[in-house]
Amino acid sequence: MISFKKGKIKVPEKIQPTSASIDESWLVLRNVFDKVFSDNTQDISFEKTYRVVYDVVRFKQEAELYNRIKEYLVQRFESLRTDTFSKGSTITHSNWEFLEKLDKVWKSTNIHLECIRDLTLYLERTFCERNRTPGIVETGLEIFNTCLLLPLKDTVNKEYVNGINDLRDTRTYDNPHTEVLERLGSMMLTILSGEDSFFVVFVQNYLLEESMKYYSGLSDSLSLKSIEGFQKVEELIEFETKLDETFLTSDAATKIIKCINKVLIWGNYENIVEPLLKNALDTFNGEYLKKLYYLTTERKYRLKLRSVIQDMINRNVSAIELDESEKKKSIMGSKWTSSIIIMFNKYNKLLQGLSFEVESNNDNETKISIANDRLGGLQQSNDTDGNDNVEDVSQGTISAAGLLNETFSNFFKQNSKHSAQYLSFYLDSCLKNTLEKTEINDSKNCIIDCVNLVRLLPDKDEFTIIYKNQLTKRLLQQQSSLKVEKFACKRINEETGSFWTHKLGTMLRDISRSEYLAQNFSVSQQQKSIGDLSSKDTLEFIPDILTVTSWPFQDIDDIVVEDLILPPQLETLKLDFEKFYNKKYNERTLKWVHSLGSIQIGFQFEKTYHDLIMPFYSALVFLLFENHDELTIDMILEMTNIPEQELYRQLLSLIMSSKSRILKKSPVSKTISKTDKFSINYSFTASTQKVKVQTIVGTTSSRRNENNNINNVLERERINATNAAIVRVLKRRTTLSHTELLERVTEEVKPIFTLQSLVFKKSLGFLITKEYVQRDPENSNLYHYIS
Amino acid sequence: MSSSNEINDKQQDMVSLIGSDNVKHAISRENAMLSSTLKSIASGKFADNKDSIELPSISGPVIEKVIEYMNFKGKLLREGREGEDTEETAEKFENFNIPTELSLDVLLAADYLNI
Repeated sequence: MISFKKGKIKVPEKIQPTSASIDESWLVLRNVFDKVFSDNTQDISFEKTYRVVYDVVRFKQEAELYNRIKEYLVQRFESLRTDTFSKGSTITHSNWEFLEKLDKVWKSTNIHLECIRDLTLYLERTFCERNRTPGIVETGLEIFNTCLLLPLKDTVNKEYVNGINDLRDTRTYDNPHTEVLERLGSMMLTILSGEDSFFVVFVQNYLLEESMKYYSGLSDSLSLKSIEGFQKVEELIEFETKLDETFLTSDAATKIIKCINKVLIWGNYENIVEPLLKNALDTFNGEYLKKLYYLTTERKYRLKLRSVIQDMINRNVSAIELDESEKKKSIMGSKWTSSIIIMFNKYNKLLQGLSFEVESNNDNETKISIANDRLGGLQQSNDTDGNDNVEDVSQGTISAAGLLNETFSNFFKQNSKHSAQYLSFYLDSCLKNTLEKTEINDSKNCIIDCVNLVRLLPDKDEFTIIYKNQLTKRLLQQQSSLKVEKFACKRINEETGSFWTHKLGTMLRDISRSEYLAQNFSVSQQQKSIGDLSSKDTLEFIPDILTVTSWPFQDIDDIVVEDLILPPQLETLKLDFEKFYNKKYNERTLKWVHSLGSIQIGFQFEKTYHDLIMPFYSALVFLLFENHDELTIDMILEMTNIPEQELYRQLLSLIMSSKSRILKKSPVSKTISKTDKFSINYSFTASTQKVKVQTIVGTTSSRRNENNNINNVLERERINATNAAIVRVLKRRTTLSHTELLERVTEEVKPIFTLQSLVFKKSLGFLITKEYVQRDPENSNLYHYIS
Repeated sequence: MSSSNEINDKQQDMVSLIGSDNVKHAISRENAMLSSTLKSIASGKFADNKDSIELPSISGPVIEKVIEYMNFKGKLLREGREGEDTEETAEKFENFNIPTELSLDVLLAADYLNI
C-alpha cells in the first residue's frame, strides 16, 4: 500500500533578483561581453552572469535583452572591421597577410560567440526556442557576415584566389597556408548569405573564372603538345584535385577540374586531343584515350570526341587499300575484308566500356567552335551545365559498339560498290577452308566476325545474292563442310533477318536431304545387284536434289538438256534413280541438270594413273573414247547431243587447259574446226593423283555477264520488295502523296537495302499498270490504294 | 549523499555544489555534466571555481534532491536505457520520490540548471 501523505506545496521564497531592471542588468552583461571579446573570460563569474540572464528572463525582459545583444554585436563587428582591415591595409604586399588576419578573426569570433552563447544559455533556451528566433551563435554569424564579411567581399575574393594561385604556382598542397585556406573555406561555407552559403553565392563563380584565367595563362606558357602535353595536364589535374579536396567542396572541385579540362585540353584541341586520339587509334593503345574519355565529362566535348573518333576510324579504315597486285578479284576482296575485320575487332577492344552521347537536334550549340568558348562566360557554361544534366537523362548514350557499328555502316555505305561483294568473297574463302577439320574453329570465328560486319551493310540483299551464288558453287562441288555452312547460314539469318536468307536454309536442307536419299538409293542398288551378279562394279552416285525456287538459277529450262544421250551405264543409273525417287515422292517431277554435275573417272595414262574430276559434259566426251580412238566434233555431237556452243567450250578446255590437257587434236591450233580430230592425250601426267579438269570460264564477256546477272537479279528482287513495301504502306494509309510514300517505303526497306529512285519508279509504274495503285486523276502527286 | 570534504578533495572527479545554505554537496563530475549550466561553469573558462560550484539561488535540500536525480539519470544513461519506454524504467522513475513540499523548488532548480 502506498500511503498518500499529502504535504503542502511550499511556495519558495522569492529570491531577490540581483538587479531588477534591464538597464542595470545590461550594464553588468555588457561588461561581461567586453571581457569576452578581449579574451578575459577568467574574470567572469559564470554563475553570476548566468543568474543575471536568468533573472532578466524571469522578469520578462528577454526580448529586450536579445535585441541589445544583437546591437552590441553589430557594434563589435563593425569596429572589428574598421580596426583590423580598413587602415588602408586592404592592399597588402604579402599575399597571405589578409587571409591570415581574416583567419585569426574568424577563429576568435567563433570562440567569442560560443562563450556568449554559454553565458546567455538560459535566454537562448527559453526565448529563442519559444519564438523560433535564431540562436546567439547563428545571429552572431549573420551579423559577422553583414557587418564584416560582406563589406570586405571583394578583397576576400581577390585574396582567396590569389592564395590559391600562389599554391598552384608553388605546387604544394601541404603547408600552413593550405590550412588557412581550409579554415576560410569552411567559414565561407558556414556563413549563409540568403539561400546559400557565402562561398556559393559570392566566391565560387569568381574562383572558377579566375581558375580558368590562371590555367589559360598557364596553357599559353607551357605550350602543351601531344601526349607529353596530356601527361602534363594530367599532373596538373592530379595536383589540383589534391589541392581542392583539402579546402573546397567536391562540387566546386569538379567544376574546377572541368575548367582545366576545357582550357588545357579542349582549348588545345589541335595540339592535344587530335594527336592523342590519332595515336590511340593508330597504335590501338587505349590508355590515354580512356583517360581523356573519363576526363571529358561535358556533353558537348563528349560529342566532339565521338565525332572525331568516328572520323579517324573512318579515315583509317578507308586507308586500307585494295591489293591491286592480286589478279583474282576474290582474293583481293577477301584480303580487304580480312583487314577490315581486324580493324573492327581492334577498335572494338579499344573502345570497350566507353559510351558516347547521342547527337540530337538540341546540340546545334556544339557546332560553335571550341576555341570560342575557351574563355567563354561562366554564366553561359553554368547554364549549359544545367541543360546537360537534363539532356543526359532524356537522351542516353550509345555504347562504343554502337559507335563502331555506326562508323562502319557509314563506311560500307561509302564503299557500297564492292563491300557486299568483298565480304561475301571473304566468307567464301573461309568456308572453303572448312574441309580440313583443324580449320573449322578458326573459320567459325572468322565467320562470326565477318557476319558481324554483314549486319552493317547498307545493301544486305546484294550480299545475299552473291553469297547464294557462291554457296551454290560450294555445295554442288562439295567444297566446304556442310556443318559449317549451316552454322554460317544460321548466323547470317540471325543478323540480317529471315526474309532474305530463308532460301539459304532451303538450299542447305536440299543438300542434307540429298545425302540421305543417296544413302537409301545406294542401299536399294546394292540389294538389286545381289540378284544381278553381272554388274559388279556399280558406280558411286551422289545425287543433289534441288528445290528449283530456292536456288539462284535463272531459268531452269535453259540449263535442262532433255535429249542428252548418256552412256548406257549412266542411263540405267538415271532410270533407276528416277524410279526410286518417284516411289518416294510420286508427286514431284525430277529434272536432270547435267551441267551442274561432275564425274570422277579413273584412267591410266602412259606414265601415271589419275582420278579425273571433270564437268559432266567433258566426262561424256571423254567416255566416248572408251570405244573410239579418234572423233570429230560432228561425231561427238551426234553421239552425245551436247549443245553445240557448250561442246566447243568443253573441248577447248580439254585441249587447251595447261594443267589438265587430257585430249589432243590434230592439227594443233588454237581454234576448233569441223574437220579437227580429237583423241586422248596419253602423254598427260600430273604430280597429284587427283586431277581437276577445269572448264575455261571463258572470256571477259561472260564474266561481265555474271555481274549483269547479279545486278539483274538484284534489281528484280528489289522491285519485288519495293512492290510489297508500297502495297503495305498504302494499304494502311489508302492515300499518300508521292514524297510521303517515298519516305515511308524507303524506311520500310531500309534494313535490307537503300532504295534508289529508279527502283521506286519502276515498282510504282508496275503497280499502277497492274491496278494495285491509282494515280489521282486531279492531283498527279497523289496515289490511292485500290483494294 | 552526505557531504564529506575529505572525499571531495581527494577524488578529482568529484565536484561539490554549494547551495544557499553554504554546505558542500558532492557529485561526480560526470553526472554533474548532465546540466549544461554546471558544465559551462565547470569548464574552467570563467572565474568560477571549477571544483566547488556556488549556486546561491538554490537551497540545500533542493540541491540534494537534484544531485540524487542526476546520479539516478546518469546511471540510467550509462546503462544505456535512458529514453527506453519500458515498464522497468517507468517503475524506476516511479520509485524516484520528490517530496511534495519541495516539488516547485526542484522544478525551478531543474529549469535553472537545464537538466
